[in-house]
Amino acid sequence: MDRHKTMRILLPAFTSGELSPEKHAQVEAHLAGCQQCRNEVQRLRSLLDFAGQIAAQSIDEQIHELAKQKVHAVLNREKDKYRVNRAKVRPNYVWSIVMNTRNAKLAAAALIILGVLISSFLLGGRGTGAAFGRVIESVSNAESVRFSMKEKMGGQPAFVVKVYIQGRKMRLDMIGGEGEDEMLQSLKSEMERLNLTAFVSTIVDFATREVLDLDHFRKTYRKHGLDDQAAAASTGANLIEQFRKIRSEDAQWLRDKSQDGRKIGVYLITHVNLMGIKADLSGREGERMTVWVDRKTDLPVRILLEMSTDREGTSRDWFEFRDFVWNGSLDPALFSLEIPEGYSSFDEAIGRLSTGRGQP
Amino acid sequence: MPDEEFRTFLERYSRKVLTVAARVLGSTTDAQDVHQEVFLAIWRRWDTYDGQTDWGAYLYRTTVRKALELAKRSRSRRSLPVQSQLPTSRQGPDSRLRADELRERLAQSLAKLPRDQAMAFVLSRLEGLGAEEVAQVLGCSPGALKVRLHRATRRLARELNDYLVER
Repeated sequence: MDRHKTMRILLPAFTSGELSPEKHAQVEAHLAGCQQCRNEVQRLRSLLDFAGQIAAQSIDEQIHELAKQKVHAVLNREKDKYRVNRAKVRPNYVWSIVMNTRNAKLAAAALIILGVLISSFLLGGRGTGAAFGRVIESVSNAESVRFSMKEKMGGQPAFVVKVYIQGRKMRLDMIGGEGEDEMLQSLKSEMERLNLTAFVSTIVDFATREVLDLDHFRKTYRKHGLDDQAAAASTGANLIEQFRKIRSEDAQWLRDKSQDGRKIGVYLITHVNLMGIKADLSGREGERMTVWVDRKTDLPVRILLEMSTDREGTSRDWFEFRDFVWNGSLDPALFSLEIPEGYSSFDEAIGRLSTGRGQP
Repeated sequence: MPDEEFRTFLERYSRKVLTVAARVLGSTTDAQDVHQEVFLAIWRRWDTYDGQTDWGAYLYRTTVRKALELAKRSRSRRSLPVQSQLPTSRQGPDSRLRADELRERLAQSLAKLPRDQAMAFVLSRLEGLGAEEVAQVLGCSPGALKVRLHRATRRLARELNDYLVER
């Protein structure tokens, strides 16, 4: 690099007085004979002077008060919407999943799609080296994982699903919800009475494309293949593919923190299209994905996907993945596709339900 | 929704957020929009923040980001400059008008910079934070900050050339 270019690079630091005395003197000597650099210094000084004037400005208290009032006014409107949303909550949501055949089917289908997405996270593209690289690679190379998924829709209680994945097998146990909701409490006591740890389970073998759904309340099962729709969903919303598309500037480091003796890195993924959630900070507010990573293992310890489910962006829903245990040993019985003893066919349950004999 | 907690939070950080936004945008009207956007977004996610959230750093990043986004969106829209509302200028009407134009152009030029450079310039030069604090807010080393800051300064000086030389 020629001397003029070297000196030019130093001009911002020269102007703000950050150079060592030796370097400062060198730049001064250069300036004496270089009109171009003198002009640049003049421009830089003028800019810094102007920035200094801005930094000295303060906000009038009246304007500040007005700004606060505006926030309070909007918040009051938001609170009204929040109350309306709460009123729309189906109070018997949990029971409807358990008791209503069609909803049970939908819930199972939703779990399958979710499972396919999660497993593609684990099974797809081993050894990929995208930006946000080490984390993706560690996830891709994991042999097994178990974690909890919590889903919260608006003001409703959060529902919790336990997920186990080993190799190409996966199990999802819907274990209940969190919160003081009356229905959740009755679900909990009913599960305790029947000594159940989950009320719906789905076991999937991605190698053979076999699926077993279990309804533990009614002791019914449904065995079926992983259909094309679920397979298409996995192709259309492959998590690992979305991770590959994340550019380094989209994985914004927020902070490091200590938690339970571990060093945790927190990243905000600002652009991602995952599970129908388009996280784009330049677009609608609040649609985003946050990933907490154990610095030692480069594996996620928590993932939070936030989304809006209405056009106005007022409803805040989120999926949270946490309590990760990576590469631990999992009981093979968890993934057994054998029909448990005492369980009868799902189709028979439809007949029972239609005659009102399916109540637990 | 813990109203009281949020109210206290708003009281504590409100002025800072509004000031930062106004310094970036040069318009108290636009700054109020950003101020509202920042606090509304936090209110909506209030129960997802953990106790360890470093609000100071978080608010700096969020406010500057939102202000830059607004500057980008409203590139063609003329706004009421903050300068004209504040009795700070010792210059005559012509130079004040020129300063107002520069103020607006600065916001637009900042919005065109790479985000990390714009953040470095805003926090260091318009907010007047120390290098260590800015590096902490941005999660980079002081060396990296220096590089970003100097690049930003040079680019801005180039972009605003017409307004700076005659000041």
